[in-house]
Amino acid sequence: MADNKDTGSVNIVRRLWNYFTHPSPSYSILAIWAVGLAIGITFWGGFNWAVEASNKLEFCISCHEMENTVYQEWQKTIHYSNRSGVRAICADCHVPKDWTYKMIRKVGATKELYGKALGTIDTPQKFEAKRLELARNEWARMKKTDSRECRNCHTFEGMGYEKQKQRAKKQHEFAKKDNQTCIDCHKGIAHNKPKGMTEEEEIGG
Amino acid sequence: MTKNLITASAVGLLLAGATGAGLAAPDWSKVPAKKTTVFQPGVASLEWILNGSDHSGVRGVRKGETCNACHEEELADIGKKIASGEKAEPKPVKGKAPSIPVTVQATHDGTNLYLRFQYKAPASAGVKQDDKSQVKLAVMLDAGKVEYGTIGGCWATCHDDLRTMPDVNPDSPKHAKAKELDIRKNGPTKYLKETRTALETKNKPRGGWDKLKSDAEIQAALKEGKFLDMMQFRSGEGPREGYVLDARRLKAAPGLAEGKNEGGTWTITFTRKLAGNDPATDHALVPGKTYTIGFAIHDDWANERYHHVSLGYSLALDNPKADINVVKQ
Ligand code: HEC
Ligand code: HEC
Ligand code: HEC
Ligand code: HEC
Ligand code: HEC
Repeated sequence: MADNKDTGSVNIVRRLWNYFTHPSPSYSILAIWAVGLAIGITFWGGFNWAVEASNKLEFCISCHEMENTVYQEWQKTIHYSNRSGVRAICADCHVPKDWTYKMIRKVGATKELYGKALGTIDTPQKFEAKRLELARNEWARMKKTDSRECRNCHTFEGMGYEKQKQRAKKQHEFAKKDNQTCIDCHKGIAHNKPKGMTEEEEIGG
Repeated sequence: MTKNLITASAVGLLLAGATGAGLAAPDWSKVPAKKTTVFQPGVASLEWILNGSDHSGVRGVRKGETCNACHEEELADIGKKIASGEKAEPKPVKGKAPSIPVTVQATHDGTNLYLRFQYKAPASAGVKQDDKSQVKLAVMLDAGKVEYGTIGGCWATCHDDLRTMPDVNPDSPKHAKAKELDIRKNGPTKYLKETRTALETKNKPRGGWDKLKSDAEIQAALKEGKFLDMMQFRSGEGPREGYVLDARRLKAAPGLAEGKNEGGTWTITFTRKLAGNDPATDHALVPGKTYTIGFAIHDDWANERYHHVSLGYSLALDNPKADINVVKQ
């Protein structure tokens, strides 16, 4: 949420990133990745500042894979601009607040380094082709935690049902009864919905 | 017995005819007024409602929630979304009102049901689809036996493969029973799921127009009261009445309805026997029972699917708990 620019530390992390992602041709990619992974995890684990830096919006969109797609879409949503002036940035939804959770997400994110190096989503076409798979990973993660990141800012308890639209009110009453979680129904809240979702995914299974 | 019935209904029809001409008219000022909104439904058919990718509200529908439970307070917004083409309307009509507020009143005198609808005609879109009637108003009644009747009123009859709907089969007029089922050159009319062996809600073409059950099964459904009773006012032609089962079956019903436009406000009144003008195909309205009523207005020379539709409302005789309380006077 905090949007104070701390580009210094972001740049360090980013340089590290570039170092990993632009390996010199004389080493085998695999060897570099093995070392890179180890260093990466140690760094993230050992230096909280690096973790903090990597939670900045600038960091996430330092890769064009993130900037040209999901970032643009997010800017058109209520989590970017709303009457309350509270902005939910990438890490608010994607990086758990609690440090141990954070580490799990970070280690998970090393997949993104591989992805970057391999160019899994480096064109808009490739991104769209993979969007459903990436989204499903996020949905599964959020479902497991009962949408913890959403609930950091929103709760059923805090909702003034009487102030909500009728359909929202009704659905939230159901959701509470059926133990559904936010992400069951609020898919595509910050980005375009992936194509090819199943009916059950659409209605919160 | 049957002969008596026929005579009775003939007399009923005559009587109904007479009422139109002026049996003691009810005092409408004593009748509670239900304010509703009819809206453009676009192509949001029953299949659309039941398809989770189109309508996530299907979760509630599966549990038996009525459309009104989620939508009653937001009907004008739904109309706007559809009229603009944002949702469920591939061919919006420019200038057509997204929704129309309507007041509904109902009363009875122990013999007849009197139903009155009033609405202020919205601005014209200047498109003439029906060259005979400027206004048509259709009413459908369910007696609690039709699947989706209580939940959705008219929605029980609306399908993706009806005429002017997206999945209509261009060869449907060649069906062996086309004449009997009133399949016109542009496709079938309304039908109920009860009369079909299957209803496709996922893959195109959606619906089940040609998956007919046997005649015996359809007749059995009619006997069990699994049909929607229907009446229609037409400003340019006479009123009609009948029912929706395997198809929409209507016949002329002189005196059933009358309507007038005074200073831009339409007032349309129906008069029919509580017991039904034709007991075989009308639902008898009896005390202590709750029915569902849905209605649709073809305003501004509209035709076919370009009407404004209501959700389903409960209706009962002398029951203040019903959405539409048919009070005695
Ligand atoms: C090094 C460039 C890069 C950076 C920096 C980056 N990402 Fe990604 N991200 C990727 C790539 C590449 C993928 C696709 C990985 C794959 O193909 O599985 C991805 C995938 C994702 C996914 C899908 C997750 C999944 O489990 O499939 C999410 C969510 C995501 N990124 C969020 C973020 C957030 C939040 C940030 C900032 C904290 C961020 N990314 C920073 C390159 C990056
Ligand atoms: C950093 C805090 C924060 C986080 C995290 C967050 N939100 Fe929000 N959310 C907001 C704010 C602020 C608004 C706008 C409130 C307003 O002004 O009406 C909002 C609005 C919404 C709305 C209303 C949308 C609309 O069009 O009116 C929904 C739905 C929603 N959030 C769901 C979610 C879900 C689901 C998640 C988790 C994936 C989530 N939010 C995570 C802060 C957050
Ligand atoms: C059963 C499905 C369902 C679940 C589960 C659910 N929501 Fe909703 N929510 C809805 C629907 C439907 C709307 C109305 C969306 C619209 O306007 O079309 C809505 C609207 C909202 C809004 C906007 C309120 C308004 O009046 O516009 C917020 C904020 C929100 N949800 C947050 C959440 C959060 C946070 C959670 C988890 C704690 C959650 N929802 C769980 C279905 C659900
Ligand atoms: C309000 C919460 C929220 C915010 C803020 C948010 N995301 Fe997401 N993101 C989600 C959810 C939920 C998903 C799962 C897919 C879906 O429902 O759209 C997702 C999915 C993704 C994916 C997988 C591809 C896809 O479209 O599903 C990527 C990549 C991603 N987010 C990156 C980002 C980046 C980068 C930012 C910041 C510019 C960001 N997200 C901001 C909630 C959020
Ligand atoms: C449990 C609540 C619920 C019930 C019951 C319900 N809906 Fe919905 N309806 C929704 C929600 C939520 C949306 C918007 C979400 C979506 O697009 O999937 C919606 C959207 C619609 C729309 C599209 C226009 C718009 O504003 O989004 C129409 C038309 C509609 N419903 C009609 C009906 C009809 C007719 C019925 C009864 C047969 C019905 N609904 C029953 C919740 C419900």
